[in-house]
Amino acid sequence: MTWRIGIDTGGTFTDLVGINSADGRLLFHKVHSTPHDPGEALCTGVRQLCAREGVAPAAIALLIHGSTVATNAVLERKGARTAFITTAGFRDVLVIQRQNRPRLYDIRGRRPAPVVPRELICEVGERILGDGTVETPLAAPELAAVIERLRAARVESVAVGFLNSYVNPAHELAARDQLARGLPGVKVCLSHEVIRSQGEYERFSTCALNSYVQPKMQGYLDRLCGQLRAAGLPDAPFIMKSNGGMTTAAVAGERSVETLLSGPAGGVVAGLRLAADTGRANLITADVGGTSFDVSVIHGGRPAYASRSEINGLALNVPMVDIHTVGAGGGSIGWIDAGGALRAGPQSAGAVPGPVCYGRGGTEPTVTDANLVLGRLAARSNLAGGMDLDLAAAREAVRVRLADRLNLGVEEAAEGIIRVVNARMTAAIRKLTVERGHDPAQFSLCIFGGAGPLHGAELAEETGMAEVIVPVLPGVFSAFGLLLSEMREEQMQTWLKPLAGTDAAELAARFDALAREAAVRLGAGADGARRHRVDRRLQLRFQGQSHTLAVDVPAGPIGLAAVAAQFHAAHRRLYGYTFEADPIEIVTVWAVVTLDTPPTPTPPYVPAARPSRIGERPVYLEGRMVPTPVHDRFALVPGTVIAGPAIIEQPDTTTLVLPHQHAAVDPQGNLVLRSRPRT
Amino acid sequence: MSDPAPEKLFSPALQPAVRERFLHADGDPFTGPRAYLENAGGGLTLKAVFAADQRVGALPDNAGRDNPASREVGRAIQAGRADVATFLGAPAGTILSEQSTTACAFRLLEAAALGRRGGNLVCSQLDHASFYDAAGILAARHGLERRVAPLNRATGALDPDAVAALVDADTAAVTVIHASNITGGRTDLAAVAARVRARAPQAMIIADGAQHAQHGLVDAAGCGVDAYVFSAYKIFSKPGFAFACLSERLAARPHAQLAGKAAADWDLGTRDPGGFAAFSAVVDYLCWLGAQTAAPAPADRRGLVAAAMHAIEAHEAALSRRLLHGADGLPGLLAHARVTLHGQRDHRAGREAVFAFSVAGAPTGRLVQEFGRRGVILHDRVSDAYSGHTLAALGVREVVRVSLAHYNTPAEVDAFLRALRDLLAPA
Repeated sequence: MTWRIGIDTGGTFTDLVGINSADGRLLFHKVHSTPHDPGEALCTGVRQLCAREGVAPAAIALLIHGSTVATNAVLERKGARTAFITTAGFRDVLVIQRQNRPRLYDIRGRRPAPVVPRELICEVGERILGDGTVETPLAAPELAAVIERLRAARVESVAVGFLNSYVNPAHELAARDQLARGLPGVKVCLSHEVIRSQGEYERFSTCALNSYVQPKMQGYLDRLCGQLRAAGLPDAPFIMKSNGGMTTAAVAGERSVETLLSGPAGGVVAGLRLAADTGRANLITADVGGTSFDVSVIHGGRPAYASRSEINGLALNVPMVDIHTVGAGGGSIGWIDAGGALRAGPQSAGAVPGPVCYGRGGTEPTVTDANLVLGRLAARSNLAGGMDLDLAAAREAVRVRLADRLNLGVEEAAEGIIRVVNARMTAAIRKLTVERGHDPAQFSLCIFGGAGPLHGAELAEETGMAEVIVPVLPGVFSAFGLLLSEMREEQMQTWLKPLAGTDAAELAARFDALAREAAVRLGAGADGARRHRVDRRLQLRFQGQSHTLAVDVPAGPIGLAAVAAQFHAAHRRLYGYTFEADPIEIVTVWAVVTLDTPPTPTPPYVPAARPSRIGERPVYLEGRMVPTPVHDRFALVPGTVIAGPAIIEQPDTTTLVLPHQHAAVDPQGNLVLRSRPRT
Repeated sequence: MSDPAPEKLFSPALQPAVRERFLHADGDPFTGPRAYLENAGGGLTLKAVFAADQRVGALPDNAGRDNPASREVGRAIQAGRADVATFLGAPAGTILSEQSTTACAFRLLEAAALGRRGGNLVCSQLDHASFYDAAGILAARHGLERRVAPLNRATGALDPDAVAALVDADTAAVTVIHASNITGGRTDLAAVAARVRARAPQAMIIADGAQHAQHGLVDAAGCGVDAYVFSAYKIFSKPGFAFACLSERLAARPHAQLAGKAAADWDLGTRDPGGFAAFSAVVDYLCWLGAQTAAPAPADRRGLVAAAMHAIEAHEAALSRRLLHGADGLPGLLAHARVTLHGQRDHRAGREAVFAFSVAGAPTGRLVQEFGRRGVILHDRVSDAYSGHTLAALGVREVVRVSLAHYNTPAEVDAFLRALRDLLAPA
């Protein structure tokens, strides 16, 4: 029982990384995703990895899975038939949403439809006030009538969201009892159990999303466990959550909403490890997959967390690593819009049919096709995935679909695709840096994903970052992050109170109570029998404002003045100013509990004893084909410095070093790209 | 690879005579009596070095003037240069003096790299940061590739073929460490040079002898390198001085100098004459030691230096055997199950008297403190600017280093072994 295997299901590929906890040996594998049943690719991949490496299934101690099932259920609107029961008079909260306009200048803009159709949103009489007192008791007969309607509508799950239930959940709990009796077998989700925060729209929306994805996720996990069992593999996989921690399949099956947007979290966890290993405090992690570009910020050695997010325009308030995603990746399609401008993405060729050069029926030129046309990718290589790519087909697609219509050469059009997709990625990086008070020049860009290292050098230049770090296994970096994740649960609760008038001891007691709840869910035991650590956060705002800022509260006695100072510092960094004299208000108390687990070591980098330079090929750079040395990544000894231009190939990705850059291999085996100093 | 060094401790009469010539051999003003086993960080200073530095350094004039004091300054400098050449076994030619080996590394590599396009510099994981970083920085600056030969984890040394595999027609320079200041692994310099010459005759081969210089004879001309660099303070002289001998072709490469100076003159500005006189005192000492240990005593200074260095190797080999394998009932370093030695386990072949080890479950900083409390001065190498790349290649983050010199005694080795035994004893 020495192997841990992380499986990251992406839109195009399913990545697998295995680590031997005894000797630190690392294995990796990649299979095409099977969107119709992601478990199929997972099991196939694990079986192939085991067969290839001679790993007995019984030697696998742990499977950690990053799943996109819940995410895809929302994005594709293929979740359960869900009903939503709410307080009389508030039926349209999910439909009206917030008053802000998602597209400011679009007079015809429409809000996204909630995942629950309006005919399945039902009202019952009840009312609990903001202080928790009951103004109107729950109308059981009305609920009984609703239950009859829902039975007839054959709903698969029911979400219950009452006003102010985060203060007093009595009516939601009573409703669940009645629903359990009236709709046996139908999953019921209560809003206060998903999040215990003020703001009925966000709470209701998150609750509805959980109900919507939960049956699908539960079904997937049950099926997956069966498939694993049949294959003789561990049948209790751990599931990655959006907060960068992992949980059991049982908890993920209940609180499925916490896995929404979890896909990129593994990359951030791996980025944190890389930052620690290399002594870097500020890192921007950027994952360029087949369909999406996910960017996140690690500042001062800590990732950015968020408690408010959205998916497909719908509010999603669960604690998560703050990741910004845009539809830009290797599979992004180059196209010409109505105005005649060249565009790239967000639509993607995905896993099927994939880029034209994959020869799987794709006809639209993609970013990968463009990289192939430009010589950045090899048409045939023992490295770079060992997959033969159809250069002629890629050239033809770029020519017919773009170059001829734009009156450009094929290489120019292909370079255009790269420039446009790079611009979209750059904008995403700026959104998380410049727009949040971070100077990109103070950060290193950690670029990964199968398509990332082809773009990292240009992205860093365009955003003003000094260096690019390409991890040892960029193609499976997110999956590696799964191996590093820890068991983690969070509990938040709205607690409106002026900071200045807060009793520090009472605040500490609040934290303790929330931590105990999270610890129970974590399996640490209410008495803390299993060793765990507690991180404390507060969401604060100036009194009268709407938006909050989160600050960490260190362990030990709480210093309210220090908390205020942290808030002011964060405000100043983000907005450029603060109001030292204005009163601050606590909005949310937030406890994060992480189970102590033996750390997974970073595997040592051991280069192969063979010459690194394996050839040369023309690469389109700065407007012409330039003879460019090609290196074998895994033959590069730490300390090696390679002058650009250069191509560095490895089985899971290809790295481009621009002419005025050099790439150095650090002691951990990471490639570090920097611009050449001027002489 | 040369034959293993013979093992022979200095005679009971010679050992105290050797120690008597060094400052602070038995103790220092701060800790009192102690065993100084951190010689890789810097050797003890000869009393004669201190005296020569004071005498010549105090002379009231610069060289090149027409007065007796100036003539003495000039003579001391010339004698110092000649003694450097004698010590290195270098032909008459360019002797470079600089403030440190690091400064030499940057200057020599810069000269080799300047004007190259698309070439490469080859160094190794065993290199000291002075050469390793200089190669990386200059490669990046000049658009060259830095290739890094892997060290051999089993021996803690550098395999000549690993270096040769990286050189080609575009190699501008190869840096080779003669002995590691971390593992003690000794490079077969002649073998490296021969293999490199066969594949890349144009490559400048630059040897870093900072660690080796105090442990064995240097034959710069015989081993076929273009430059041999060492730090004076590592071989019993004063800090702030490093010397190198340069081949004619390397000396002729463009380098920083005043316009009116001869092309082969690499020194910049006025050098401290005391530093040259101090090094002559080192060579004088070695000649004395050679005369004590060789029979019959060679007549020339190079012959005496060679005899001294052979005697030093033999003495240190005997001390190394004691340290690794123990003696008189004291278990050696290798006998402790919790101790891992990083590098060659043989006390003679392919290594010098520098040993890197770790103790399972014990932070190195703490170990060094505990040895210090027991009167044994050691040092730990951690993943810092100097050692990070080599330690990473060895697969560790920190090691304790124990390093011997010829003035060390069996009793001092026993003090180390006794302290180790006590520290590892079950509580």
